[in-house]
Amino acid sequence: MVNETKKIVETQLNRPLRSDVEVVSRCHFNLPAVIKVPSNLDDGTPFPTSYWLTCPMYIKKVGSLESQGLIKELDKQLDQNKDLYKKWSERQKSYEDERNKENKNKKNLIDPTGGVGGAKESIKCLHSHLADELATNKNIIGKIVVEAVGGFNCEDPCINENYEKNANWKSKW
Amino acid sequence: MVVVAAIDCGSNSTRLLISEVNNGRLKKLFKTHKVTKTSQGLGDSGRISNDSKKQLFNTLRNYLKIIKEYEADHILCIGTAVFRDAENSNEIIEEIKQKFDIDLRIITGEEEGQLTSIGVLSDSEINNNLLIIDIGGRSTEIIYDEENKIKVNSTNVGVVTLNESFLKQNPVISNEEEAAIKFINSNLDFLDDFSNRTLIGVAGTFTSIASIFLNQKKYDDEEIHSKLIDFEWINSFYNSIKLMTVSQIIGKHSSLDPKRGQTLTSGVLLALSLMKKLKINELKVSKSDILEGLILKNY
Repeated sequence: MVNETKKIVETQLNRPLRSDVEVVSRCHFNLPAVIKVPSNLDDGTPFPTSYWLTCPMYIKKVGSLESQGLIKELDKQLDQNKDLYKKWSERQKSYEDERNKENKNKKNLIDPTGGVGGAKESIKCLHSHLADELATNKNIIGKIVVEAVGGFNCEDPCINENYEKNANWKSKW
Repeated sequence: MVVVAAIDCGSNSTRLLISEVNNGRLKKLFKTHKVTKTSQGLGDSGRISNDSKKQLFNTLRNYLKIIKEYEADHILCIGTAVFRDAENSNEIIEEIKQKFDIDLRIITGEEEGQLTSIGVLSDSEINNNLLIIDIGGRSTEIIYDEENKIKVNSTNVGVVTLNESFLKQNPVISNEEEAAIKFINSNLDFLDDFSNRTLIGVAGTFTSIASIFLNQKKYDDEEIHSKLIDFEWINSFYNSIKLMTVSQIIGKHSSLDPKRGQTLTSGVLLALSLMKKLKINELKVSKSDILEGLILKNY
């Protein structure tokens, strides 16, 4: 089962995974949407993004929000809105703390740094904020992104029964 | 024949209908809504915030473009509870006049109900034993007929009010739920047994419930019109969404306007409480509402 899941996620992301993963959010076809990634990959590489978006539909939608300039817009809002900034920076901190707890009892590992997706000053990446929100319900920027992308609306699953890309899959914006 | 645009500036959403009018009959040309969250934060500050104002103005600017494309002859624009309640309504109305040359008129809860009834009746076979409920952001209108007259009860409970003051989080926690139910019921004390009437629900909460009931992938208001939904279904729907996060609700229900995700649980709880109080087992949803009524009243 673990291998099947890994295979599905590898197909969704179009690349081999460098660690085991756990699915923490699924779509209406019960396919993985967000995975939990360990803070160090199999070869020890520090990996700051605890929750990774795997759903191709969401990846595409969030990509187009980013290309429309939403990161810049939200960074500006963080500058101007104290309450938003407070909620965002609290999550940055707790995300880092939760991730670094994983390594408490392990030796010879380098902790990754930064908050959500390794972000420090800027939001940096909306995919990682959406993934964090879907997994934990704690991410204020992720909540804004969810409101912009809406629900899982694919008519066909993105992966077929042989764990291959479904040729008929198309996402609608 | 004239082409008329009607804009409803509500507490949660700002809606537009462009329609042809011919001898008191409407032909819809275009209808849309945008969740502008106009009353967000009003409970604390008593004012419409700058952010909300910006959202509202952007939406109106966009609507004006559409109205021009359809070459509408007239624009009718109303404001409801958020404008009745906010201290700075008059300033904003003045700005709307200057910026967009639109006259926004604040209507009372009573008038809101009257206009809604005109809209609903224009598109329904029912003409007596009427019971229409319009759940809004900051008020709910209960509209019924008595001795051939339309009566309106307007209460200061809406989905945003509930969301900001009681059901502050999803998943819902039980003491917040209890307080919300208590608050709703204390505002519905005056209601009688309406079990012999057919309940017609209008506006975002009811249309969203119907769209989800029909398992729509994409919202379709022709398909939801006149759909019957029973109390038990709504009850079990409430029990499922109250355990979910807002993001999960949005993720699961793709036909829901994602900006309604945050208030859906409050809206469904309010709908359920109303049905319980009125002893109603079945809900019928109408796509026609105050926007249609506003045009028909004036043309």
